[in-house]
Amino acid sequence: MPMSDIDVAHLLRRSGFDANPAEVAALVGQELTTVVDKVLDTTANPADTRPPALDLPVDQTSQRLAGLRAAWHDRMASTPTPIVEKMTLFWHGHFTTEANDVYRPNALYEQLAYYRANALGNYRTFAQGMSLQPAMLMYLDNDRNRKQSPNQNFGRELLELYLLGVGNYTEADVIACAAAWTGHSLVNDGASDFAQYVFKPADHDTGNKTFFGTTKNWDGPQIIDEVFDNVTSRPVVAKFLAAKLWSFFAKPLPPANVVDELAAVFIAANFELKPLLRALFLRPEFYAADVRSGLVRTPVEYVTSIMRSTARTAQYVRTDQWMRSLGQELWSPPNVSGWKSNAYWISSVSAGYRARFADALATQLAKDKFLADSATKPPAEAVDAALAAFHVTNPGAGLRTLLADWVTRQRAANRAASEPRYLSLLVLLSPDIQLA
Amino acid sequence: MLSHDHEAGDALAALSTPVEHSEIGWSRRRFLQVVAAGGATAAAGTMLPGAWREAWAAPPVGPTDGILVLIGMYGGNDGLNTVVPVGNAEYYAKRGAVALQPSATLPITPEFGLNPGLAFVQSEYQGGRVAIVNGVGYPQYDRSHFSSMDLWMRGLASRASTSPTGWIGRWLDGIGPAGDLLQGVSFGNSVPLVVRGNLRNATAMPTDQGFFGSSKDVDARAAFAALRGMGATAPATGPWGVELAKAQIDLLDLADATTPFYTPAPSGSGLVRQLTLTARMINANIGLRVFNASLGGFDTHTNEQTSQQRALGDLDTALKAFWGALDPAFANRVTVMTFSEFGRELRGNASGGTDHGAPSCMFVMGPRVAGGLYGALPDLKTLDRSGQLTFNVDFRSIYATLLETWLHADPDALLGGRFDRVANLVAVPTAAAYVPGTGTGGGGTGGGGTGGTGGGGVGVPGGPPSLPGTYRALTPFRLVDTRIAQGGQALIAQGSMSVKVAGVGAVPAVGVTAAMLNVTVDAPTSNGFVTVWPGGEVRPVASNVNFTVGQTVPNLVLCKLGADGTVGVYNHAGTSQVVIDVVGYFTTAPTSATATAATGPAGPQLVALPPARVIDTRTARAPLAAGAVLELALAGVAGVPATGVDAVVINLTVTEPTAPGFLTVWPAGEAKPLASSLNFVRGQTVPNLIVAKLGAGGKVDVAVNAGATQVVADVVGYFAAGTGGGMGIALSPRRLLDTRSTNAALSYSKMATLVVTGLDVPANAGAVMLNVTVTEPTSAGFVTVWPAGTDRPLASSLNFVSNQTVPNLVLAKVGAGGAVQLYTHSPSAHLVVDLVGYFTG
Repeated sequence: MPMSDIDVAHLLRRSGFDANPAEVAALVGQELTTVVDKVLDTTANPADTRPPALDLPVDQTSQRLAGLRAAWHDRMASTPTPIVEKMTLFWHGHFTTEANDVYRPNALYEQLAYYRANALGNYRTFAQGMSLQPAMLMYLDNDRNRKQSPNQNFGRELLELYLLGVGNYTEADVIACAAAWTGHSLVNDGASDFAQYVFKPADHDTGNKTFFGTTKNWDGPQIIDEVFDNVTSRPVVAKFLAAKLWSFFAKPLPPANVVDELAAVFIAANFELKPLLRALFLRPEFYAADVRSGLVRTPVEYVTSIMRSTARTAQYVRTDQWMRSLGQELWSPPNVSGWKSNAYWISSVSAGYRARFADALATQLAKDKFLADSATKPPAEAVDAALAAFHVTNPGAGLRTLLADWVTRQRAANRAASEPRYLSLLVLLSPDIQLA
Repeated sequence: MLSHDHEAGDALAALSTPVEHSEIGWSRRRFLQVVAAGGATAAAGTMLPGAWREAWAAPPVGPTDGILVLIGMYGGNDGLNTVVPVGNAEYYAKRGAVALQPSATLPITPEFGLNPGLAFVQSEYQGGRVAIVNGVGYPQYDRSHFSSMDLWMRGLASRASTSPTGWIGRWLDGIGPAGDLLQGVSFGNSVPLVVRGNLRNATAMPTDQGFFGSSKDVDARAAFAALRGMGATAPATGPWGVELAKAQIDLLDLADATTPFYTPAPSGSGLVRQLTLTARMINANIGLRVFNASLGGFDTHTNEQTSQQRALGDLDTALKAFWGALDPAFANRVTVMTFSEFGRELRGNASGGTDHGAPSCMFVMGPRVAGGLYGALPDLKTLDRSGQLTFNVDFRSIYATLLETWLHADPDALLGGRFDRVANLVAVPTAAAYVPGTGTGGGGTGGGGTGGTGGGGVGVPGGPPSLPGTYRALTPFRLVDTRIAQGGQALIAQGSMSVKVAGVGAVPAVGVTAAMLNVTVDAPTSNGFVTVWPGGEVRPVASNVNFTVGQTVPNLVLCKLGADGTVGVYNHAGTSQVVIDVVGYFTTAPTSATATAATGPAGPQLVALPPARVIDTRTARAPLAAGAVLELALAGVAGVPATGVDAVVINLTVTEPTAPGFLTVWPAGEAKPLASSLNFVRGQTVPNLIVAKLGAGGKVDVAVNAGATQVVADVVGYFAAGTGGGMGIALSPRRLLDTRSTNAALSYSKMATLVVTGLDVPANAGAVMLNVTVTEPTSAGFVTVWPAGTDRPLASSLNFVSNQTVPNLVLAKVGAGGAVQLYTHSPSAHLVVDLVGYFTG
């Protein structure tokens, strides 16, 4: 089915970060399957380069973290394969890690590179490797999980937040899971910021544990395999992730039939992620009006879309200064469950930080002659040019009229000098640009 | 593992909401006000169609209204290392290296010592102001941070409930008097479940700087106006776009309202900043009753002794800063409650920490709290199958106790079931000023300083009172008329303007403390209200003139002037024309008691009288017609002396007018000014208090501009030079009575006696100025306010017809026992009474 401009723009925004009007124009009229396959084609994904800031002196941790964050922001803003970075961002929110707890930039980068490399790979493989990442071992204390005194932190979250969800396991399963993961630890040298996974047999509980009703000498990785293989938990895992991905790309609270059908695709593909995403983007429900208007841009998505449309860097938009107060600093999720959606981002407080960010950016852009020729155009054209400059596709007619009226009034009052600045501000604060 | 970020609560709260917020739930917050009957029937609300209940129902905190400050301790606070059982061998045996040795703790009883981070809590405990509840938990505990915090925040009897509301949010739903945006406050980026209701949410406020949108730059203001306009264009973008636009409009409103709280910028740790702002907002008395603060860092899986002491130290520092910053006038109305999602296992783990457990401890703190130990230490030898301690106090019992005693609500309805109350945990709130250092010790119920206003420096809400001063009546002078002046800019919804009073017309530029203004609202496009407040101060959540769409309503307003000699005028909803005449002012001129050669002669002072009728044209069957002048001789009648009188205070009522118009009252012998004393539409009955300057022969002239109308006037006082009068003191409004909150309407047979002296008004006050609003009358009628201990006079303070809502400023002489009486001539009507000023006797 040939795609409309609205559907193309929607797919580009959701699978990536923004919809460049030129790119939309190039794809309009092509078949849905063709466009979805193009979106999922990651062959142009640039090689992962280690941010140079990581090689600053080891004790300059905050500068190294800042460099790590800026490098990811810049990569999101410049990549020709945004689906890879969007999925990497998803994983960072799913198997999350906090820099405040894992104060090891090398480990955080190593984990990020792992998420990026496996972003559209096999979920089972991904979960196994994730569990052994030094950043995860440190974050959820599995490096301190010993048979003499098990620490349940990782074992509990593995079942509750990562794979199954509350209600799909028992407290006894948590205890067995924690025991199975004893001894999976790391070698950690803070002086060189070096950490590496290591199995410590002396700390591992080799006794019998009962997990999902089976009593044997469970080991940690076997627990993950069991969760994926057990006939009861297998569909639970598939549905849990399918629902979370639908909530991330489409809108929260997915219909049961959509989850069931996507989970079936996921299982049939042996937990390969690309077929699942393909099926997701091909669903007619994905293009329905309620889905198109059903997601608020998170701060990272909002800022990335602006960086892409205005071709500005992290340094220019001052992500270092703004992302924390906007509520989504990378590696600073609110807690182990990652970031939330929609209502979580809407409050008078978050609106305040967003407005301050937009105000600072609009002021800087105006200084740099962004929209500088605005006042030479008739009001309606000036408004459309500004909306297009920020990649606001299909803005509402009401918004265009409102802004054009504002331009007209300001010019009539001889206040056109500040038009570029405040036109940018108003576009940046329009509901249209704040929706994903 | 939970973040140490103090905003962890935001995410927990969002996570705890299993369903998306529906756009309906959100939009209702501002556009649908539900009237709760209050008390035992809080859950059964009825709609008040078309009227902004919140208008006059947004009072400052009343003298017996409790304020609750919640502090969430995120991560699962270890109760055993917070209130350490130093005499318990089992604790030391099972805890091992994680246990705190007795010598490391701060002793409170032979059995318990506090964590070393809690020095201030220890001293407050010793002062009898901290209740420590041990063994708090719930059946079938959940050890997930998220599931357990969900249960704590939701606070329902049924754990199966997925209601997207919290226990405080449901209470917010049910409070009759509710402000618009600032009903409750939660610090952080989002609104946690605990303060989300079905109809109302607390407002999320930042902790570092004020809201965006306070710039005065012309271009910025124009951009803000356009931003507000996006509320109308947002529907095209769907429900979330509407919410985004609304949040930004809320933001602009909040910027206008809250900027002063962020000056100077709060400093210190996250919780110190949250509680500093809390104290400032309580001191400003803008009607906020609940505050939700949060602190992280309690998920002590590793190295617990260090990390928990640090987190508890943050709590301790913030509590100390809070009680230090709180105005003593409010302390007896403030209680703090801490909570955490669970306690921790008895057994220490090998990482120097403890894993998720079940029961923990809570602190309930404040001058009205009966300090001491509550609940019991769980039996450390009897663990359940999972190796966990067993709770003995259900956390919902604490909620029920606070809801009932402190927040005057029905706990059974709000919690969805019956939970035992904790006897004597906290005494009811009181308006008496709290005098620090006079606590009654353990088990006592609070802080002394009862009676009187205490301490000589009781803070008056909304800033200091104006200086005592004498009153100068003026020939009415028009300050503002939005219908014709300066391009005719009517006040838009949520719009406000600054009106200069000092130095305008005959008002002196200096030495003026308060003004008597006649404020008329004309042709409002919506139901709403107007607030007049001292310029430069925080706009209080209060109303001076309430109106319904299309109505013309006048009301006399006594308002302090801001430091710059202005008053602010705010229009809540719709577009309204506003006309303001100044009819008098208070000066710092000396009174007869303070006049000296240096200060010059004393100015006139007020003498309040029992109401006495001086004219009722209906009895003469001769309505006042346009073109005619009704001359009223007021000197020497109804208790007014024959000479030396500067002005007379009259309650003037029109009834049966044949055409829309207005009355003008002015000094006899002078030219009729362009001013209105009372506006009305055809057939309307409208009262207004008038301060009429006397002209030649001690007379005033009254005229109507169109048609003909009946006129009724009652004299209620006068201003005269010499002794025996009172100094006027204008206050920020304080609600004294709202019969709706107890569902106790007045009637022919049910009068109310209202003690008006107390916190704000000294016992020697001669008269009080009250803004009285009648609402929901079931028939036409009138209200009479008169001194307690005297016979009810034939006079009306306020007239109304069936179902009308009518405000009027009332000057009432204070009677026996510092009280006034209120009579309502109707089978049933509700009254709302705000105190706005007084005159010393």
